[in-house]
Order: sequence, then structure tokens, then C-alpha cells
Amino acid sequence: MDDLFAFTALIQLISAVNFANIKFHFHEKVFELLLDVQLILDEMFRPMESTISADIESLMGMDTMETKNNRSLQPRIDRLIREYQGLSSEWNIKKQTYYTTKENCIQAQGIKSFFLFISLYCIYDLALIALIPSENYADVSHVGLFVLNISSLIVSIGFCIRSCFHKKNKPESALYTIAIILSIVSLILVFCAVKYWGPFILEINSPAIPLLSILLPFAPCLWCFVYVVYHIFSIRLPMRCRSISIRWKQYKLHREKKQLDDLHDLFSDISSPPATFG
Amino acid sequence: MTEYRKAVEYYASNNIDYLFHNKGSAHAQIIFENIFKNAREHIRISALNLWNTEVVRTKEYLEALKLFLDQPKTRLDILVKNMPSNEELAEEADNNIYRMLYSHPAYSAGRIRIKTGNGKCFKTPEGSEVHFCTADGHMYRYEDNITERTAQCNFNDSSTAENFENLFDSAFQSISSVVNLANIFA
Repeated sequence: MDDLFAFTALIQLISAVNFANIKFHFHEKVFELLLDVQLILDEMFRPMESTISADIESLMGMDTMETKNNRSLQPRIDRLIREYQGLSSEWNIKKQTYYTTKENCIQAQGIKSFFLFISLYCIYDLALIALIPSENYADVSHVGLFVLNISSLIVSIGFCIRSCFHKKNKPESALYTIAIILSIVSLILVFCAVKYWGPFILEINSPAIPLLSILLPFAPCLWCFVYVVYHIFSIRLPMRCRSISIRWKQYKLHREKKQLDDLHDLFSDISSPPATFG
Repeated sequence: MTEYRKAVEYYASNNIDYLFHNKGSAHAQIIFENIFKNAREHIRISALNLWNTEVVRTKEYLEALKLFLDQPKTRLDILVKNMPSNEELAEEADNNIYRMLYSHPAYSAGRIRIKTGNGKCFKTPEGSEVHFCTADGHMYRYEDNITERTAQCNFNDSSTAENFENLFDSAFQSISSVVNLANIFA
């Protein structure tokens, strides 16, 4: 039974090493799966964008009629075209920020080093689990797992906060170095804890720790979903809020364009047959 | 123009009542393409000779028209002011619309009818020539300046479209010059 337990731990250890590499890009895949920015933009803003484009082209194609007192509609049409073009540029700039946010989320350097840290942590974690059946090291293993879990929890929260704010002031290699140093510090902490606070920790030790430790290799997946969901909200909500002012401006311009349409209809009433055959 | 195309596709596919003022060949091509793609029953076209290379004899126009004819029970009525000459029609080119219409099964099924006004066409009260196209009683494109291709279009305006269709039908029925493409291509 002990051999079987050790063998299972070894398999998990190897799996953790293999998955470490995959998980660096896991969040990118999950993000693509859960949020298609282009699709969302199309769903939310296609009617507004269509009206802007159609109104601009329609105004450009409108006849330059003159009213009875020889006042041309052309200056009004030109002004409306200019305002619409300004609105269109403003909207394109806003739209671009959504793509930038998405890119920041995927390219955030902190998140990759965070997954590296989790992967290294999982390797130590599983090595300690493998020691549980041993009579000599069972206590060491329990204390080690306890300290390792607590320290990783604290470090994980730090990484998450950092990644969510897209800190990019450090190169990727430096962040990897930080992740490796942090994991080694955790390991040293485990040894210190075993030596100095072992008996005390064993008193508060819970039998749930080994079970929790077996589940923890899946932590990167869980964190990845948390991270991506956070970004989905951080893109969708501002998207709605920021578009309100654009929508309002577009509504006012469209109303004015409709007035021009009505004026145009007065001059060329096509609702009754405008032509004869001959 | 990509944005305009997307906008027209949106209005056409959703049958939205919106008055487009359009100008030039590029606009015309996009509008026709969307009328053909969204029509399900009956298209009426009144034109000069349906032989221009800017709009009619383009891949997009012909493919969209073919897609419309591919649907069962669709009907196409064309009224041209003049037919192109027989030498022009004899062209083997892929963009020969009359050859495409003749070779389509809809022609032998009697779903395509072509008539020529022999110089007569639709005119405004002021006497200037106009062209139009309607589809399914709710879509139309009315070109009131055939030189600059200035036109108005709507994908969901039943009353105006029906007025044009009635106008077209009364002229179409009164004309006896049926164009038999079999005489040209057979």
C-alpha cells in the first residue's frame, strides 16, 4: 500500500513538471475560449456602428438641394459629416482600448511567472506528500505541507494583485527569477519551520492537509479562471459605461440626419410614383 | 467602404427601414448585392441596357443575382431601354450577364423575363431618365441621376416599393418586345 502511495505521488510529480510548461499559456487559451472581443463588439455595437457608417455615406451621397429662398442644405450636410467623422474617430480610439486591455491581460508578465511559481510549489508539495508514508519523515512532511500551503497562499495573492494591475516594469526573465527565488524561500521556510516550530505546528495540524495538498496541483487552473474572469469583467463593464456618451452623441446626430432626410423628401417625394414610362 | 458594406448588410439582413442616399458605382454595387441576397420572391429591374462594367458586369453583382435565382420559385423581370448589340452579347466573357441568365435553369423554367422598351424608359416629370430596382414589395433602389449614379434606397419601405412595382408592372405588361435569349445564344 505504501509503495502504491509513493508511486501515485511520483506520477503526480512528473505530471506537475509536464504541466508546468503548458500552464504558461493556459490563461491565453482560456481567455480566447471565454471572451471573443471582436464578437462582443459586434454584438453590442453593430447597430450603432452601422448607423454611423450609413449616415456618413448617406450624407455624402445626398443631393445638395436649395430651399425656396436659395439657401442650400450643403453647409448643414458638411457640418454633420464632419461631426460624424469626429465621432467615428472617437469611437475607433475607444474600441482600440478594449483590444489593448485584452492584450495586456494575455501578455501580463506577472501571470506567467505566477504559474511558474505554482508549478514549482506543486513539485515541492508532491515531494512532501511522498514522505507521508515514511515513519521517520511523516511529521516533517505534515509540518512542511502546512507551512508550504500557507506561504504559497500569501505569495499567490501577491502575484494575482500584481498581475491584475498589469505591472510591466520588470522584464519576463527577472520575474521568472523572482518566482524561483520565492519558491526556494518557501522551501527554506519549510525547513526552518520543521526545525524550530515543528512540535507547535503538529499540535494544530489537520488531517485535511495531505488531501488539500493532493488537490493543489490543480491550483493553476483555478487561478487562471479567476484571473480571466476578472479581466472579462474589467473589459465588459467599462465597455458599456464608456459607450454611453458615444451613443448619446450618435443619437443626436442621427436625429439631425433624419431631419435632413425629411427635408429631402419634401423636395423629391418618391413615395408617389416619380416617373412615367415613355 | 468596408464599414459601409457592413452597415448595408446589417440594415438589409434585418429589414430595417432606413433611407440610404448613395452615390457612385461602389455604393450601387453594394446596394444591389444586398437587395439580391435578401430577396426571396420577385425582383424587378429597370435599367439602360444592363451592360456596364462598373456595377452590373462585376463578380459580386452577378454572383448575388445567381444566388437569388438559385432559390426555387424566385422570379426576375428585367426591362431595359435598349439591348446591347448582338456582337457585344456574343462575348464569351464570364461577366456576360445575359449569357449567365440564359444558362441558368431559371431561364428555361420561365422564371426570368426580359423586355426592351426599344428606346423608351422611365422618366421624371422633368424628362430626365431614371432607373430602379425593387424586390419582394419592400426593398427598392431608385436612381434619379444615372450619370453620377445618385440614388435612394430602402430595405423596408413597402409603400414606396409597391408604387415602383405597380409602375413597373403596368409598363412591363404594355410592352410586347420580349427578348428571347435563345435566339442569341442557342
